[in-house]
Amino acid sequence: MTGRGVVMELTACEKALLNGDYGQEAKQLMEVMLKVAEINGATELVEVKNVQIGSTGILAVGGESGINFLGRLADAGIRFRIPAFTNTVSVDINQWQRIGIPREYAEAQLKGIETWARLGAIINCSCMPFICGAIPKLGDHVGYSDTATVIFANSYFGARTNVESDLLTLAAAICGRIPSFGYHLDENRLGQVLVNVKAKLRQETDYDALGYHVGRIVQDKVPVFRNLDENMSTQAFMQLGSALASTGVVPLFHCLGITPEVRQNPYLYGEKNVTAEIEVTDKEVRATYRELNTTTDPKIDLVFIGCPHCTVEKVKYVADVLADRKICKGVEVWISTPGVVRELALRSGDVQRIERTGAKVLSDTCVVLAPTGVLGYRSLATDSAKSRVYMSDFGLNVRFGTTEQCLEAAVKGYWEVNDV
Amino acid sequence: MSELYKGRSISEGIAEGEALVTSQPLSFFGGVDPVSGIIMDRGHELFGVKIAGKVLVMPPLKGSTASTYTIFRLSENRLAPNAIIIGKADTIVTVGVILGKIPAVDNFGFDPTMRFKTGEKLRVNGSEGTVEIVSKGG
Repeated sequence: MTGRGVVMELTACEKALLNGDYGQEAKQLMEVMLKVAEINGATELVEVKNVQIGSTGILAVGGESGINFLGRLADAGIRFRIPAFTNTVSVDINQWQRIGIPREYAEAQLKGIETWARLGAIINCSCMPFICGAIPKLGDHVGYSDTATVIFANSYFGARTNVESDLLTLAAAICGRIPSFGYHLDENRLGQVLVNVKAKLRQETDYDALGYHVGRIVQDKVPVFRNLDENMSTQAFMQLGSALASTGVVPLFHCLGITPEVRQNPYLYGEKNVTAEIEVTDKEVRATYRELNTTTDPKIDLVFIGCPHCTVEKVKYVADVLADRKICKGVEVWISTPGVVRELALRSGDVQRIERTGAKVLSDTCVVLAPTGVLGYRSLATDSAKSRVYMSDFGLNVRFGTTEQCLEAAVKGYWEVNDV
Repeated sequence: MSELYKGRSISEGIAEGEALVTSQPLSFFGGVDPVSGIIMDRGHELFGVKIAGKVLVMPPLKGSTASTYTIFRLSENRLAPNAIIIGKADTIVTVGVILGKIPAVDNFGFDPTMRFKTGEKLRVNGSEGTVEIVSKGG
């Protein structure tokens, strides 16, 4: 119960958990929490407003073994005491049959979802819980586990979280606190590399390219962007963060004049600890597009839009771009959203407009977590740099381009080679 | 006389086994098959090697946070290493070994992947944070 020899103050609830009053599994989770605090030099636990339960995908949770562990927690009477939003999962809860997911696979995932619900989780199944009610304010501590979620929360809201271990967010959901180290502390949140953006960013995917490029350079240093458009869309902000976190290991960035911490204290967050400066021009952005588009085979069998999950505005934009054209036979198109966004888009008529073309508006899942390989897809086109990184690692041929280029490829059935 | 090395306790318990040493970072999620306990990362020097029952000596992990559940699943399937000795334990491996009840030690002040050799018989005391070379093996 010590961190660097410091006695950790525990609440009555935490003491009871550690004592085994709620079973062996909860005891282990508390032991985990205290050991994680110790190895990271944390001397206290801080209260968190809400958490995101990670490793919710069926493979990530380790199939039955992970789900049975969660079930034993629920059997012992454990219920989450703070809002706990589930991250993206491997199936669309309502539409898994529509995208050809094998029944056995879907049922295993649905059993997991049922178990998280028994524990009291909010079955949000999205990397963008903010759209669904998790809205931290400046300085709030939260416990998130998906890199795209973490970097958005830290940067856009000025909330505080590390990329927390999945089991740690589970423990935090139960006791309401998390070890205070890393990005929970002021001193680790100061900007370190000034990124002078001279490139003209015209569309959301330009922010993907910017993030991908800068993440590789800054690695674990906190970037401070200068000259970004204060009117950039929420989706553009999401794209920038998720791309940055896919090539770098930094879960936070500041934008001068835009993000809350650096607006509140420009010198402290934007200047004091800055030791390097880089410049990004149109040349680097164009080069990144080319680099992310290395496949030579023009054939496309899957088009994916929605990493991070689409906002309702983005769904409307996709409907506008498709404009009642027909998706090419043999091409599957997935537009991924959180469930509440799909519901809104349905009421607004945008789901109908998109689905008339043959494309599908999905919830809960994404191309990275769904069993894309099992479904037999080989050649993907996507407007997400993060998905490009993961899916290439999984062995698919991947095209990265603007949202329009991807939808154009969906209509034609192949990628226009001169379009890069 | 056996040699005793002092590190830091990460996960409690005492276990013995033959050392399996690698200096290349490994991700458990995607890198180790939870159904066979065999390393399936084609780019890894231990590709095709079974880690079950060994004392795995490794540098800090790489990759996904989902490695936690993979370590736990290996343990549930009785395919986990008997113990883990790691250069520096991060949160991911720490959570995995505690849940999987795998004794683990880190932080020796030297690189364990250089000190310990594959085939040596090691005794790991995760509660005390010590490692003993019981025999040189071979």
